[in-house]
Amino acid sequence: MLRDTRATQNNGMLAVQLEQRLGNFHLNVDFQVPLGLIVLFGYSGAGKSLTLQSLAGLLRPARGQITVDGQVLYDSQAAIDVPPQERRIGYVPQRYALFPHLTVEQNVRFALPATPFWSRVKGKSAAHAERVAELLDALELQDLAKRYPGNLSGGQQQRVALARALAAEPRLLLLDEPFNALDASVRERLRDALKSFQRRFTIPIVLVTHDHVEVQQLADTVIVMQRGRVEQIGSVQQVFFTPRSAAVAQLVGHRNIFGGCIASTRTTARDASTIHEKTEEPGQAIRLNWLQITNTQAQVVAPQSNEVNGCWLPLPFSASSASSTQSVARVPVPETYVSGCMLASEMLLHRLPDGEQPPTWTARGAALWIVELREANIQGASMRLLVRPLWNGPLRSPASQNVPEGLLEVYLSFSQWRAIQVEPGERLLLEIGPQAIHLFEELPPGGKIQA
Amino acid sequence: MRTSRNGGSRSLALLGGLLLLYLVAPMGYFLFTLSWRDVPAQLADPVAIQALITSLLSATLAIVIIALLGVPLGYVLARKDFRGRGLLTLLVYVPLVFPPVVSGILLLILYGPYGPIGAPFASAGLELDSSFAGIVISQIFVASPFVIIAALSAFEAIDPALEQVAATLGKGSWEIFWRVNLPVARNSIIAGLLLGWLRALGEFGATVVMAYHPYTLPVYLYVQLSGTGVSAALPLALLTLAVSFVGVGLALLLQFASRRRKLRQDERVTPYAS
Repeated sequence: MLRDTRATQNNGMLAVQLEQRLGNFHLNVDFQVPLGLIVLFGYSGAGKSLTLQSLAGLLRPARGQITVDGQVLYDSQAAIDVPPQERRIGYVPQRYALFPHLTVEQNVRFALPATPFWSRVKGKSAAHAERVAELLDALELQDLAKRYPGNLSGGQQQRVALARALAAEPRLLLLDEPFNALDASVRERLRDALKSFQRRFTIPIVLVTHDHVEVQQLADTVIVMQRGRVEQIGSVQQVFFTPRSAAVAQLVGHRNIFGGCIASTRTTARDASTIHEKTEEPGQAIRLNWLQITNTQAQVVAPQSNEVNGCWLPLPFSASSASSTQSVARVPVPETYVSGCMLASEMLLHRLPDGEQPPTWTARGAALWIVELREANIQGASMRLLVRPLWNGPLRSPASQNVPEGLLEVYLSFSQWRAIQVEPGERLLLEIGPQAIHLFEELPPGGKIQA
Repeated sequence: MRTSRNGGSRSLALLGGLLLLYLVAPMGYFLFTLSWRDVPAQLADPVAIQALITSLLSATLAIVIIALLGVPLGYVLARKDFRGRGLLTLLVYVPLVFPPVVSGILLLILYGPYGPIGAPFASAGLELDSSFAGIVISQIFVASPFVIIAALSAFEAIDPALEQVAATLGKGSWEIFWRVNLPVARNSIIAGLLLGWLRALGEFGATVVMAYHPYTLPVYLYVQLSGTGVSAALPLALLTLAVSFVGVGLALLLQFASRRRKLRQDERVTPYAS
């Protein structure tokens, strides 16, 4: 049999490359990730379930290659297509698909090889019964062994489906929206249960979901899918903190997504040695980027790398206003700044009295954005702001139905802001946390981020 | 103008009640007018007993054959995607609406002593018409749609995810059919088989054309009716009525049971806390 060279190098990896056309929908997926708890994340219709079914062998891709832990399961070029029966891949569909005519025990038993009635060796049956009992025990289903699926709660059904899938000793477990059929109140707990389940059985899992909370709670590796393609691959931190596109930012639940442009960029590797620093926590080195403000411009530089560009952001400083001792202010910005996502580590909102020019800044006022506050609604600890950016770079707001031209709508949840200075009637100085605001160059001109 | 909401449903009930009355009246009056004292003697008529045995045997044989061939057909029509499936499904329904006599004529042309299939058998001394075989042939023709349609809709109602999961658990398609599809569809199929069996048992139109002899119960009933008169046919009618009642009752019970199981399943779509 032909063996692909990739196969031998792919131990501990899930390598998938698929192409399939279904009507108008074009599935074109390519990823290679370490086995663990892999989450396929995207809106419904992104092709997640189709990818899952291709992994299980229930759907045959037109072209491609699937390799699990070094074993080729599908390779269109080498004409390899292992049937689902021999893939040893467990599949738990959305509604669990328990066999309604079998008890919990029989459902689990179903996964073991059948012993035909004419060759029912006592020993073999006993071995099977023991294995079933073990699994029921492990998933706390002993008391339900004689019940039918119709009489089980969603959580119980899920456990039965997991036990049944495990009984076949799969090398990989596929879960299609496993918490979708459950009440919100149960979900949280069952997510925890799944995580500990995975640790306990040390089985790699591919999980499909459109819920970003699930991703945060479960994923080792996130594969973000959109319209049949892989949009981003990474850890939870990478995907959430540096979404590669506006669509991903929206998918992971960020609210303040704007289209904007960086006025100019340039490589600033020469500055690297001077501004690389460590965090205060001992033993944990985190690379920092700095927002450097000189007289009239803000510069973000990325140390340690020639590939990453620093960004120049024009700020509305007049030379005189910044000519104090603080003419150069440094404000730390997370590393994530440079990789496509623009974060304001600190944002200053200033409410201007009528007819007044932007005020001079204190040292505290080093900021990425300087905006004029037009309207603020504070509800509980959350805030909705309408602001007007005070610089000339083009800035767009997506899907702004109720927002007047030239203004941006910003939502801040309780954890994303704190007031650092309040002067009633005149000034409101806010510090806004990282991850609150995202700026993308490639935001579609129509402003509507497509699902 | 005042129209009470009750008034509407009451007139609907009235309309339905009229039809129900129409359906029940003949049976009720029949039971009322029957001279119960003569029933045992008339049922002891050896020809009647022979006819009953013929009917039971032929209908049972017919339904066994239908089950062996019709359930797989229902599965294929429900699950396999191929060209002409719609046309095939239509063809399956057709014998249901044929006038039974027409069915009998069609069968006679093919299986009769001069038909392309009947002739070789006839020359070998095995007549396919006017024989037990003829009865079974006509019963299969008229009764199989019940079974095929019941099986088709039962298989169609099964979530394909069950089969997919079974496949990932290492089960081949034959094993999946036997251990998943068939057991899940069981009740509906049995109900279909019961209805088909009753249809075969009561078959008259096609049978009387294909195989006047040996008498089945309906044919003998007709013979008695045209020969001796209504009074002679009444006890036989009672017998067929009784069999029908039991059969339909069983079929409905099975359908009810399977629907309730399905309902229980659906209730759990948004399940409660475990």
